[in-house]
Amino acid sequence: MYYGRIKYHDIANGEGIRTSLFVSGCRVNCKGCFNRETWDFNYGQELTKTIVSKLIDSLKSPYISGLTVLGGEPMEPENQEALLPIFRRIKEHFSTKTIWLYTGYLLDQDLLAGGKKHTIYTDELLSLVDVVVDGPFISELSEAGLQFRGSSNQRIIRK
Amino acid sequence: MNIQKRNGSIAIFDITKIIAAIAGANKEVEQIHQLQTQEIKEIAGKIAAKVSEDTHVETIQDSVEDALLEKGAFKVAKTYIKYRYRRDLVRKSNSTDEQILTLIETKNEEIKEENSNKNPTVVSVQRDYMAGEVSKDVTRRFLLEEDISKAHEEGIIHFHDTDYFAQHMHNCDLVNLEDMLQNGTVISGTMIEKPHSFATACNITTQIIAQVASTQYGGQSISLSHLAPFVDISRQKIISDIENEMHIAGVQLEKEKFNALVHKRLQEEINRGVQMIQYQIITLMTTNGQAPFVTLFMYLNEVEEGQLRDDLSLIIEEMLRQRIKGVKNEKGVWTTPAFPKLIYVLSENNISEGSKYFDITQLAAKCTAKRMVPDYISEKKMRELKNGDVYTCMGCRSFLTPYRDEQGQPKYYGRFNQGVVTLNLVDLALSSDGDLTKFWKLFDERLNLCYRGLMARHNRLKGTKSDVAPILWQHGALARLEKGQTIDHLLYGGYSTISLGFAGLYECVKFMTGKSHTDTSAEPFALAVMQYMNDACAQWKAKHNIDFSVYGTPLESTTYKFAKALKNRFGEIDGITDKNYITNSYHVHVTEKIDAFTKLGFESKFQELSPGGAISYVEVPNMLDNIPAVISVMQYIYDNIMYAELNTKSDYCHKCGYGGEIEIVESEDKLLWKCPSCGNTDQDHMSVTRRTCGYIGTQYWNQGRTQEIKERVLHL
Repeated sequence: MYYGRIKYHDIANGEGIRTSLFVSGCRVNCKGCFNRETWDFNYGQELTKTIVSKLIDSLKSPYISGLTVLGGEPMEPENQEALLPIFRRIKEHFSTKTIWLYTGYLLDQDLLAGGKKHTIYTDELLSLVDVVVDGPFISELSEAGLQFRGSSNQRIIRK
Repeated sequence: MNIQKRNGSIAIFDITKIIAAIAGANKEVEQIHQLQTQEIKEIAGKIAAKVSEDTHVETIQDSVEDALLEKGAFKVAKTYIKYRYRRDLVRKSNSTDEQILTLIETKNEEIKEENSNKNPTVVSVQRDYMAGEVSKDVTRRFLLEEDISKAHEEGIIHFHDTDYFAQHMHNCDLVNLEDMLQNGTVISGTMIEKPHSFATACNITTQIIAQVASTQYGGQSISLSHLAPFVDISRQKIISDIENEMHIAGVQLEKEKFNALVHKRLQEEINRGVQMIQYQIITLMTTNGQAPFVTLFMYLNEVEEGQLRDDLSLIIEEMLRQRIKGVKNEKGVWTTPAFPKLIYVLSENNISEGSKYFDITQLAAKCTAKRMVPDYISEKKMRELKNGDVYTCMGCRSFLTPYRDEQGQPKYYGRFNQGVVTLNLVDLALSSDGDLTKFWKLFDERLNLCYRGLMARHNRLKGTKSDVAPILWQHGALARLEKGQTIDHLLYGGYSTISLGFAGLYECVKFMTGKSHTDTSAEPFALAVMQYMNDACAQWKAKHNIDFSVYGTPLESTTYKFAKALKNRFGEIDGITDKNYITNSYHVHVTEKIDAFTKLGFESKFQELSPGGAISYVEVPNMLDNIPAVISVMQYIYDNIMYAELNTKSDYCHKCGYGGEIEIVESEDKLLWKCPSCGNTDQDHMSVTRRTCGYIGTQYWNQGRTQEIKERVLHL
């Protein structure tokens, strides 16, 4: 899996101070997307073992609340497969850290069994996630002052 | 060849000036007594022959007189002597007229932007500035030694508060409010006894603050702990009132309902009292032409556990709630008030989820996100650094040193700071050409200059009678001395402190080592500079029994003054003198990319070496949507640094109602504030609040400080 950037000490994408991973590759293709270049699955750099370790290490600090995964689209099947072992490691080592996941797909349709983005990894992956922010970005519904979201149709679902 | 001028500076000798001076006198006398041009040139030539390196200009003028008399040109000599005498008089006479006239017509740019909490268009502020100009002038001409004055003018050091130095006034105070409220005080000749309710105690407190602020020039702090005992006094009074009312009405109430009624009335009284403090402080104007610089200390563990601590928590909670709400500006819009500054102490019983007072800490976090205050003191870190004690700074950041009274008890309330002289570390580095041997030698010379400046401050206070400020010295704010008694004993033995300020550690280290002090290879040098100043203070302290301590100066307008002086003296040097500001104290440079945790952790090492006071800050975006993140920063502060603050943003555009961050833009070489929503650039129609030197400023800043604000990078 490739990623566009990793933002340490991020406060804009989820509660507390977080490490944010922007994965590459997206087939949602929202109109008015701010990061079109991240639609490409080969955008940025490869998420190597060393970088994953650094990412997980950053969560050790008691002042970091957890990891946020955004995109691109984390719930594209190939990204799900790559994220699952990372989420497992995080939950195994740091039970109190939260995982936030941003997806353009809908949790209660696309990601359910039978949904268009449901894979053999989905159920376990979502069971490890604490908060899902779902729904596509709709530029007409974009407004300033939306907490942790880009457009008002998007939902913050605490599991 | 160089000669020495009156102010001590060096100038190149110029024979034409002598010729011009003689010719000037020559012109004034009748033709019959006049000298020929050739004769004047000969006289000048003779004088020039006698001039050697560093001859004083007065000596040269003496030779002119001698030469004229020798030549028999008595009339010319007489005119020359008269002229010289007149020039002398002018030089010694007051030179403030121009300054005063321009400030009255608000054409004095320097004064306009000197203090971001004073409005220079208001007549009462102008009165304070007029007095300030006279004081500066008197200080320069009579009170300070010439080389100190000169170093101050050249920006080598900053002799603070020259606008108050003519009088026997000192810097900042930690007001002993407890003593004044419990044992009574006297305000303007009127006895004020121990108050019988919380609201009255609050009212008296604001009176005290106003009086204190008018008798010193620095900030002051009071502790809400000293108001806490009055909550129960009000509670008891309310209980007895309700009992009486029930009795009269012939009604019986269940205990639960009765208690609810008591609680309701008590809460109303606390609201009233807290509101009075907030509004009085911000609306008062002291004789210094500004609202009093007040800090309110909110430290739960300062009072004993139980009812008293719970009562204190009620006051703190209300203080935070009202601050979150803000105060209404003239348009009726809720905005961020500059005062009082709030400090909240983080401790085991309020820092983590589940701790007893965590809900108050959460409220504090919300308040910081919205209103930039409170700032935070870590009980844990402070105990490590301050001999096990926890106490507030005076005003914005000046900390007292640990002290025990005759009974061996910690004593902080009632103590004060005598004043500050700040050393410009950037000038020191540049003056030594980057040569380390020269650097340390010159450091000694500069420190000696500061030392003599500080002794001048101390000596100015010596012999001061308690009568100059009865509220301070006679009626309990600082002491209860007799009339006519001097304050001298309070100046020694560590009761009060005196501060060696410093500025520009970053630029100093950068010039000497080529690296930022955050670089591990440059950090040891930075720490050595800090240690050197501490060692100097220790020596002076041993010699005089006066508590000298190193202080991270909150440069406000002086940052611009220093930057301009550096450009004048050394030209524009990349990364050192190319800005209109220099970095305050030990701070990491505002443009350096560093995260909040690394910054605070790094600066903590330097805060330890600034025992006279210092504050660290992190610059953050709007965090109202992420209070848990604010809490995380607070928890980091608790574990890692004694005293820190978060610079949040909450502005308001009067034209369009935009409530986010108003930005700084460059227009025709000037920096302007501009609303990103409607493009408004009229400063009279927007409210901008930024922390610039420990206090929140709301009256805009000079170009140097504005550039610094513009270049601040976010740490989260």
